[in-house]
Amino acid sequence: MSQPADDALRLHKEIAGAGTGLPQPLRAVWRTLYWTYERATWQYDVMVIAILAFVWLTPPAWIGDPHASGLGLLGWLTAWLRG
Amino acid sequence: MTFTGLIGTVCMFPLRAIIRVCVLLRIHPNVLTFVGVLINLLAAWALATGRFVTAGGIMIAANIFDFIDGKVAREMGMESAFGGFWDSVMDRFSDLALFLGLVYLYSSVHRTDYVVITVMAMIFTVLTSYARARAESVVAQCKVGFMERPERIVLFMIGAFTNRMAGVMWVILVLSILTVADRIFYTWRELERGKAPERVTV
Repeated sequence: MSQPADDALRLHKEIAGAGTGLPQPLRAVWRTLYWTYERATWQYDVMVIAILAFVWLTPPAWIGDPHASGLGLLGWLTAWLRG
Repeated sequence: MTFTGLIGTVCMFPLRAIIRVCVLLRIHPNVLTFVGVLINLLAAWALATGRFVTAGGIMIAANIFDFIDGKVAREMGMESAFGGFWDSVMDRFSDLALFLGLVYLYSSVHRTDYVVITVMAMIFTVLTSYARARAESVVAQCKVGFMERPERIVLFMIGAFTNRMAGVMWVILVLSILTVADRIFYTWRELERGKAPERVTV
């Protein structure tokens, strides 16, 4: 195995080991905050989806966006539910 | 294959053709880097004037140059230490130019809050690359953290094309802060681990 691949594997093992003292939900939070995953992994995909959800679903008014127009998907749904 | 892996594979088809053309025309990779920066300055101007869709289109063109320069250098056998250095410095300049465009835009509509958020995102963007460069002078590799340049550029384009730049600034700011923290923590751990055997022998 190449040196960078060795380093990445060692790092992942180290992180997995570092999280063993934590309960599962906290371990997931720790691994999200201390990001060591490569691109094009399923964890990376989940992060990308979460980011896109925040950017596209949050109503611009909630974050005081000076330029965006429209409600955003979440704002539209909220307005629709309120009738 | 993952979702992001599939997108990367699809995008590589046209890029491979562009790389082949550049190699055939024997265009120097450092020139490609510089042209990318000049186009990014146009994108910054478009952001500053609030023309987000135009800015997004220009950013795509700029980042094609930015993406292919290293690959063209490899294919032409022209990889050099200076080329890597030049590319890194120009990347920082391009990043800062885009942020400056947004700072100008938000200040022109008197939105001090978003001026502050954009400037903070800019500061932590610089710190992200500085932390890695400085860390790699004392440890072998420091690639932890999510928010690297490709992620940032794609986010800029998404924000521009979908008119959601404020949300994008928040994401870049929060994830850049985390990335800097990750790199500091990783470097500290690596250096502490290096120290451990010395402590045992003393």
